[in-house]
Amino acid sequence: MLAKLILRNLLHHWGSTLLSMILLSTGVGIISLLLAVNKQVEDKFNRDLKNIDLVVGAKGSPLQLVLSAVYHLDAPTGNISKEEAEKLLTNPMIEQVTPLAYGDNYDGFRIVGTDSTYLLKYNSSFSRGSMFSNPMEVVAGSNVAKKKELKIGSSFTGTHGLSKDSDDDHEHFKYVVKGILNPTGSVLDNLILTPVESVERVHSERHEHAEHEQHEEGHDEDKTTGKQITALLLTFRSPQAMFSLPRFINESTNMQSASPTLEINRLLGLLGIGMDSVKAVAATLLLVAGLSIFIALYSRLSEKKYELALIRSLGCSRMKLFTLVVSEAILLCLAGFAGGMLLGITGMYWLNEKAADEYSFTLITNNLWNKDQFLLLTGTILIGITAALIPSVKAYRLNISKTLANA
Amino acid sequence: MLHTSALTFSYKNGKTFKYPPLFCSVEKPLLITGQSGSGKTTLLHLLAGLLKPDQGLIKINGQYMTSLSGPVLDKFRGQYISVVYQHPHFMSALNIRDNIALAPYFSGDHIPQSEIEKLAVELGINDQLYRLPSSLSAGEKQRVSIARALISKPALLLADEPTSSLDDNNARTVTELLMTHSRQNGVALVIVTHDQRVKDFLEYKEHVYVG
Repeated sequence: MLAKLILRNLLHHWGSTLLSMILLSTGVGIISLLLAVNKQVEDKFNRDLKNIDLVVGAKGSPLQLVLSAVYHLDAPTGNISKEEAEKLLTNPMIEQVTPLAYGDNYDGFRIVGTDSTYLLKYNSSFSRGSMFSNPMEVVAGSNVAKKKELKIGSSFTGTHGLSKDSDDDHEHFKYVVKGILNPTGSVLDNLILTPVESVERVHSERHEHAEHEQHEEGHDEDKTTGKQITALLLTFRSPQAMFSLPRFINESTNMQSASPTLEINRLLGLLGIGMDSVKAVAATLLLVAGLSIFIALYSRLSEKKYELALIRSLGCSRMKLFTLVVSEAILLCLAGFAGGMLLGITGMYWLNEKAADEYSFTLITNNLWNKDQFLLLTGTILIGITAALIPSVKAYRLNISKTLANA
Repeated sequence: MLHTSALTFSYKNGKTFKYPPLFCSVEKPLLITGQSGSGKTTLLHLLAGLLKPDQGLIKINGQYMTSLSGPVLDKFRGQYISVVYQHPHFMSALNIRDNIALAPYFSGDHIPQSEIEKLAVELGINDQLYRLPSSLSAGEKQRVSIARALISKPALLLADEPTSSLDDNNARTVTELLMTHSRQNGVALVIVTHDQRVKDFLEYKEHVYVG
């Protein structure tokens, strides 16, 4: 009966109930979305960093180099000479060197020339097929295979550039799918891997083609046609290499080195400021929601005074009446929280739908229940209790005789 | 059955009321009349356990209510005392049926659903059971409040100006309903009013004038 009474009360005053719920849900929704994005972006960034101590590439912005070579989010800073890069192979401080050569895409998915060490970094395994062994053979990441419906033996042509909008097809070169990887939750899922030679072959052809055209148009530029790659991913033998190797590379070669951990922490630090301000907005929303619950309960209290006095006279104890008012607020908050979670999850699906391809990043929509969400729930309920405190104390102390006599 | 000694009560502003000893049984309803401001409502609230007298004892069904307080008093009030007000109040969010069911819920009595229907038929409000209180007329509301007052089978039914806002016909009906149904259900009836009509409608009464 008490539950019915609380529920009926909320539904009867559906206007203010709805307003409070919308405010609560919006606040909770935004905060839970932010929490999930924040956490998952950090996780994802850290997962992709695995087993990469240093990135070496063309001189330019170190952050760009890291974003481009580790996360495949940005354009590369340029190319480096393969010859110069190979000198590092003999350095005793380096345990493993993974070459990366990229510049083409297949419908937005990057085609990356590399070797088997790249796959080892992410503990990937084959769901079908096997590793490439010849140029123009590719291994597709799980997401690429799913989206482009690639099977073993499928063939496709790459497009020059890194976004799917470019229309410069390498029509003469067909890649053949040799293997498909299991999902790793890393950047690998959205890449197409091929031997470095494939990329070299496609581009040397393109260069000749371009030069041919330029010559016809009367230009007389001589391009360097030495073998190039885009970047190297290094792992050190010991952490001490971190002190000497970057300086060595930056000062005595034509290349630059960047520590992915350092750059990403810098980037996340910058993003954190933005996150904080959005969080502040969402927290304000929650407070306003609390205020609206307070106002709703408080104003309803004066119009419901007689009702409350009535049920007291029917034998309802003070404590029960107090519980009645507080429960109403808590129920409202729980409903608002549930609505907010729903909103948050919808938001994630929407983000995935809109942004997953662009950022090659998919938010995980299950397993949202973590410590942060629990804190958020606790916070929401506390807001409800705080908002209900004054009205319920007033209800507790209601003078039945006076209220009924003045009716 | 209601029994009181001489009761006194004073408000914080110094206004003091003194009342004669009262007695009321199922057989003889007690009619308390007096001018407005004579302390009629105060007396009713004293009898209802909503106020505590400064002096004097109130005995209902063999139990001294004046010795109870807090949740025990709340429970006692719910079980043994019902009040019909001049302007009946209802939980506006609940339908009539649930409003009637509130009384036994808060007093902790288990009343079968069929009792509500039986009483509703007797009081002629069975068609209104699933409507909201706001859609009822004044006369209908007063019948519902009588139903609510009687449903948990109290020992004492207090009526505070039950007829003041009703026309002659409704005033007579309500008074008769109060009289017959309290007698039928074995409930002692006390009516507090300044409405002279009630005196004529009410048979075999004990009449006390205050003020």
